[in-house]
Amino acid sequence: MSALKRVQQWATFARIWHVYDAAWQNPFHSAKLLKKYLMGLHKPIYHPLNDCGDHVIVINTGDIALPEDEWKKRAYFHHTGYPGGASWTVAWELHDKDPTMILKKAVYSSMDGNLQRRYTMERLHLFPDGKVPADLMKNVSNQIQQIRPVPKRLDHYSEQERKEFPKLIDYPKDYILR
Amino acid sequence: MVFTSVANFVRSRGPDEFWRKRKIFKMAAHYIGRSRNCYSLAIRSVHRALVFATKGRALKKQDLANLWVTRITAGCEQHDVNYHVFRESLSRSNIMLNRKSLADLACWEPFTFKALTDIAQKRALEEGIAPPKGNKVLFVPKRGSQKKT
Amino acid sequence: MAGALRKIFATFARSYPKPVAQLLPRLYSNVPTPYEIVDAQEERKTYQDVIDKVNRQVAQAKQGRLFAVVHIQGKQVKVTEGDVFVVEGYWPPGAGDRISLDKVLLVGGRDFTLVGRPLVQRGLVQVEATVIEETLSHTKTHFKKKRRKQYMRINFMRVPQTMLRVNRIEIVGEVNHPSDVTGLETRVF
Repeated sequence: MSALKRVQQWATFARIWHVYDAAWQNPFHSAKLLKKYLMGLHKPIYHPLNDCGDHVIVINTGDIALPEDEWKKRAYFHHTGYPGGASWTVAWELHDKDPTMILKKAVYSSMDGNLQRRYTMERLHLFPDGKVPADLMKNVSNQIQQIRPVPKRLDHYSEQERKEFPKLIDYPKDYILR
Repeated sequence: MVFTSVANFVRSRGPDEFWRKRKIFKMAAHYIGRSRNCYSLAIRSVHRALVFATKGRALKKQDLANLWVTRITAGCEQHDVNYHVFRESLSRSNIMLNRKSLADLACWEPFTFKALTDIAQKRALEEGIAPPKGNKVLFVPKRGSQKKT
Repeated sequence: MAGALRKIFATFARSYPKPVAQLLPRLYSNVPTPYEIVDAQEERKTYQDVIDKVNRQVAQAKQGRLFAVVHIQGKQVKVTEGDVFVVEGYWPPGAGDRISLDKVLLVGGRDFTLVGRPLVQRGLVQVEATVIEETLSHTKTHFKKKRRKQYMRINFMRVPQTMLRVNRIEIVGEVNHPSDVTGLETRVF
């Protein structure tokens, strides 16, 4: 094998590190996306027995956005194994306890339950905010595009932009805003 | 085979039972536990195994077909083409490569595959079969966004 | 058409300011369909340049090791020189036969790929193979059983297999320049 081919081989099978910003993203849709990178499904060399998955660093998991009223309705089940040990934790409660847990469970359950799943999960690095250890961050060479655009809040617009925003009507002077 | 030893020679004239069972035991030779040595257990697991093998031949073909699709999709995504648009465009361009050879090309000949995606993109544009781009985003209630201030 | 080739672009955003393109519904817009006028002569020159480049590379034998996707026995195989591949099922050629695989769907070299629609130009590529072995596969047991129904069927089958070695993949003709008489160049005499 020539030196060039050998390097090509390394480059093909090397693990790549991706970063993903979970702010304002639906964790269940994000899970499907992240799963692809973790399992290596985005590579044409993919094979179930070919260990070609990548690492993904997810930042801002504390700022995920759940659809509808899922914060109140989605319950996470846990059983201690003892009689009467069942417990149901609502999403907002779980999120208070650990802001990475909802995304972690979403990714975990989006994958098939086989022996590889736990090893694949080890390649997922979740951080509730933007603080990532430098030794992890230095590996990163790609950013995964967010599936939804992050909405811009009104107070993030400058005064200038707010004034120039086209409006349909002017309220009459004597109109009372309630 | 029968005359290889005295014991086998004696058996050769005897009842069929020994040979019937030996056939099964030979197939169960690598099993664990009693299913290797007890006939009633051995035949049960041998039958199961044979049924699995029969069904498995069809499943293997399905699995491979799924793997091809996965690989082609991965290759397409690298060049921003949808799998279905890619296949449809190729067939409209009269390029009759099947999933197997497309997957081979995606895996082993990335430059050739890129050329194929280029052809597909051009064709999709001309025929207007590319899916609408841009995802529609509805309002997503976020934690704390509905809090009254 | 007269000298110009119209190409309709599916996206509005190219030629119109973005907000307008987004606001207008695609089907009911009164915006004229965007198009691009392509100079046919220029385009033909570009194609010719590419074809010339490929021809030059083949003439100078700089195309590297070629691979081809050939259609054989209803299946497609990607082969390169020296490969051995299996043709399954009943297939007349016997051991020692030299055959030329004519249904070439795609040929690739170091810097170019010729994509057939569906086949590359007849006589352009020669893919020669030798039948090296004719055998049967291992015995496949077809076993069906239904529990508690006294139903059991067993059959054995062996599929004929033919091993082929690819001896030669070569570009013999000129790209985009078919010869006047076709049909003879792919024969192995």
